[in-house]
Amino acid sequence: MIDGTRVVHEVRYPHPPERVWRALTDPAELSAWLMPNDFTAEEGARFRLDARPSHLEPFDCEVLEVDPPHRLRTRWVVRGAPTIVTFELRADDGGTVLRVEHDGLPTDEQPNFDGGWGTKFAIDLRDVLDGARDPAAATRDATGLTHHPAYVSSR
Amino acid sequence: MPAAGAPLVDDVFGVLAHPVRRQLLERLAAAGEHRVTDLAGPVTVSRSAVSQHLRLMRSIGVVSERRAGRERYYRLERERLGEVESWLMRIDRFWERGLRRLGEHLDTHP
Repeated sequence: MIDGTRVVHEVRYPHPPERVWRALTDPAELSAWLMPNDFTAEEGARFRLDARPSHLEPFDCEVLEVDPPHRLRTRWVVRGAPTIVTFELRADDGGTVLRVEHDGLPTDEQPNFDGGWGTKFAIDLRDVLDGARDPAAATRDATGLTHHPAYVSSR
Repeated sequence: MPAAGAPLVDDVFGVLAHPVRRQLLERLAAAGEHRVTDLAGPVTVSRSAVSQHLRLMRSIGVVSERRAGRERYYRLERERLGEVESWLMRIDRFWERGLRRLGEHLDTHP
């Protein structure tokens, strides 16, 4: 589902969190369901996701946060734009609920000095876009701010 | 003029991809019209770079320009920004498919 400018999916798998975590962090596993890659589960590690031929170039990515087997946060640069992909896992009666949040908006999100995260600018671009997509809000003053056909170019 | 090797910008997502353009959009989001001087003030690139970005944003249609004498005034065209929706839908479908494939992978390789 689309929540503002974030794409959010939650799904339950009848497998323990450690198993699901492995599927998210082992390169051979990722290749099987996502796309070819050279992923390593280390904060700061760069990796590439090869979405060819639907995209001209592999995505340049970076691991931002690793907290096994609970949370994995990565940056994917798609068509030159940085986007944030976050996986969260929680145990659920022998299975795992996996939550994926893909912030589809190119973001300037950066680590703050205090270890938190935030956008650099006073007006959140999300608010601008939400206003643009909601006709009723259009006149509101903004200061009140592995291998997937999804990226097939229209060209 | 895009730098050599830079992604071709042909839609709203491409406009959003550049951090200076995001800053400009946020300035433009304040209601009304803005002059280049007002837009260029808070950003760290040259005024001519700002003009280039505005020219590109006009070509995509997220910004419109009005000339009054020698002054040019820029306004955000919000409807065009609404196209980001189709981009998000593509991401949505991508994950729907991917998570289904993840489930199948887990079930066949427990």
